[in-house]
Amino acid sequence: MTCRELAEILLDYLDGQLDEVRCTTIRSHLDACPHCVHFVQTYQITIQVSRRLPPAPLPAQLLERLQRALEGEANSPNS
Amino acid sequence: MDDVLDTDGRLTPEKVFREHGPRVYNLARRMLGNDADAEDVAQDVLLQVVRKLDTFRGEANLTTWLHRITVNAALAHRAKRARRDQREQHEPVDLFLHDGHHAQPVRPWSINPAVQAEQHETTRLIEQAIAELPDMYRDVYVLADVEGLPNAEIGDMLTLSLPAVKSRLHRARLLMRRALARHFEEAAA
Repeated sequence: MTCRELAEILLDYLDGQLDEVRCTTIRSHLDACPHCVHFVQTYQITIQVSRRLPPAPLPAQLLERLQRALEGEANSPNS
Repeated sequence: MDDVLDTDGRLTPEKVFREHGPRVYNLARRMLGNDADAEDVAQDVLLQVVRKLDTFRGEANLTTWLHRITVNAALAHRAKRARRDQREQHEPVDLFLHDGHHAQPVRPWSINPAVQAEQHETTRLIEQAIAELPDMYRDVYVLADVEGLPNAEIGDMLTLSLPAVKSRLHRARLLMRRALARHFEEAAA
């Protein structure tokens, strides 16, 4: 297995979608390749930091627009 | 779902805005990469929801439905805007030489994901990297790695096959990883 081949199936490996034979091949490659160890670690960090992104608050002007739109609908002749 | 119901067991507009508004707004903002466009989409979506409040009586699928209509609204907004991403479609797998080995040494990062994603500068860098992804990768990345949706559900939303979702997600992660490496990679010893 080359480093490129490992990268190409990394998503399935991390999702637990590979069979044991291919998992063993990947682990053997990782045992011998520090670059791929760092590659896999940083690939995982990329996912982890994205999943921990804090949400931006709803802008105050958007809340005001929503309230005005609701009031406008409530006051319309068709409501 | 009880926290968005009034005493009669009905959803109220205020509770929908408070409980679900930020999620709708953030999803639209990250898909569109633009605060003003995200506000327009979030307004359309949230008003659509409150107009249909009678059809939701604490149904557990409200969040799923919100994701779906937000994605649809964001995609429609992008199409209407007719400013599809024309940026160069980077080839993430040029990280490797013809023989399949890494083209450059791969170094660890000086980042602790457990704490740093909530720090302002780190957040800004990650949001910027997401915003700079080409549309086709950013949509999948936001839904999978920010929102945490299953690949099959993302495929349904974006009308993509499961292999297409996985392929785009992997390429998006490679592009994100490369963008973040510029900031977090440890210096060579």
